[in-house]
Amino acid sequence: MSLRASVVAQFAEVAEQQGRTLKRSDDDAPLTETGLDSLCFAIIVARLEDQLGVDPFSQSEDPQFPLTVGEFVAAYERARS
Amino acid sequence: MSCLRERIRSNDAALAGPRRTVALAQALSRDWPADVWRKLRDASVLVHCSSALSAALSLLQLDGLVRRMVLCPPGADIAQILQAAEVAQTSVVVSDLYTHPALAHLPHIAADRALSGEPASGKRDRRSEWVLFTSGSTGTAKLVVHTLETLTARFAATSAGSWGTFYDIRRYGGLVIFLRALLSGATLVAAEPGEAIDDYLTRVRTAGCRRLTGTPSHWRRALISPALSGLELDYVRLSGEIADQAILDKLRARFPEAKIVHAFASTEAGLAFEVDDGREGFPDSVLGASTAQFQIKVEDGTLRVRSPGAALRMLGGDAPLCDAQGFIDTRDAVHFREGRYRFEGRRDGVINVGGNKIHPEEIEAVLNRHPLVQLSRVRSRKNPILGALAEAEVVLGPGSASAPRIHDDLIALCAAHLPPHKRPVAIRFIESLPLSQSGKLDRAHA
Repeated sequence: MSLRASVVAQFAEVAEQQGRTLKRSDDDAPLTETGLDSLCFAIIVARLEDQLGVDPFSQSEDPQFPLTVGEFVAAYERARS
Repeated sequence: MSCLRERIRSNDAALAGPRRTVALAQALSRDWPADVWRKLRDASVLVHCSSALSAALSLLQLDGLVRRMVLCPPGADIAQILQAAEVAQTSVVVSDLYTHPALAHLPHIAADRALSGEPASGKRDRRSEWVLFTSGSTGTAKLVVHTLETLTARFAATSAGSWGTFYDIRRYGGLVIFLRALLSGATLVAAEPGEAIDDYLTRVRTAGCRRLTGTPSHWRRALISPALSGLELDYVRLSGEIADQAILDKLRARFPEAKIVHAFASTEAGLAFEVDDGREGFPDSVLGASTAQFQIKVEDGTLRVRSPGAALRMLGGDAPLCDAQGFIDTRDAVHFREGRYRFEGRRDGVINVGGNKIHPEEIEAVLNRHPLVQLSRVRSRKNPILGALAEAEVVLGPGSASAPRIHDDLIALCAAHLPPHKRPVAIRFIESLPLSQSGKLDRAHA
């Protein structure tokens, strides 16, 4: 599974567990339009850390949280490279 | 009030250790030799023993003789003990250990010398201070001052016979049971530091104990012990941690005839109340049962206690023990629902999930409802978005089904009983969870 697919799979799984609908997951989608709330993203980041071994948002001193799905995936790609 | 020694001299009280049983009336016919007596008179004494039995016998000989005795619990590190010795201005060490280099500047008296001395000539008429480490002690030692009066203030008459406790008698929970057993003329089967629960249970059964006390964590461990088979009890008591419904139900199933009591007590506040209706939490009638000296209330969501069984003061530090009205804030959070208060957890242990405060104990209580869960611990996990999330570690009972299946059960259980922000983000299965020296789930290293 590609990194992007792993991330989007987590979006879908967490959305379902939290009783939400994943409205968009394309690269251009702003995170605010995915249908997920901050608790969902907190859970996704924790699960991805368990799965991939990295948490790109806790690594830097002044983390810039991404605004779109594409930027979110890119943060993981950078962290793993 | 007469000293402890006087009060038990003529009864049948005994202490049973792993290797020997000591009849106290006989032990107390001996005393410290005259030279030791002079050193101890009015002194501040550090009781630093490896064996609970040696420490217990020393306490019996010291009460009424010394000004102050500091009970070093097992597990306290030498830095904490040194700090306690300094704060309590101790001038003598009573010990069954080799002399620790860090304590070498103080004269040492062998704990068993009282067993070889001549009968007492002087009077034990001092009101000795009993200085205890609080059970939450990690890092710097926190010391509170009790006396024999405060430690025995809320005793009701109890039966003799043989008693057991998983607690060490040098911490508040165990000390109070030790005193209660001795004043009732009972035999106390004293647990020794490092003694395995299986070995201790075997001694308890062999001694014919019908009363046994410990923390809910002790009981969760005991319930899976093969040494529990054949043990019958009349009285089961839990204190020191929240007794959730799951552990109360498991104990009821195992000991259908026993009186099962869960008590709320702390080193600082003493015994607040006992509940024996088999349900978690406590009825609001507990708050109404006040007298001039004794009162319990809930303020700002935490339980507060004013009691003649409370400690007199803290030793060292500036923090007052109680407020101007004499109430001690236990820092245990409770909330009221359907005619009953339930404990949520320690104020100091809350996990802040994006501004929502959650108590690990509340989540553990839900996980513990699963019949195959023996023990669980919920801890905080850092999170860049909400600051923290809860995650859980679970120990399964012996012979449990496959973990993946139970994992799904636990996720479903949490989803059914907890709002989304309280559900653990991850549940890990582990072999065992450590207990602290005071028999509580070890949260300091979580």
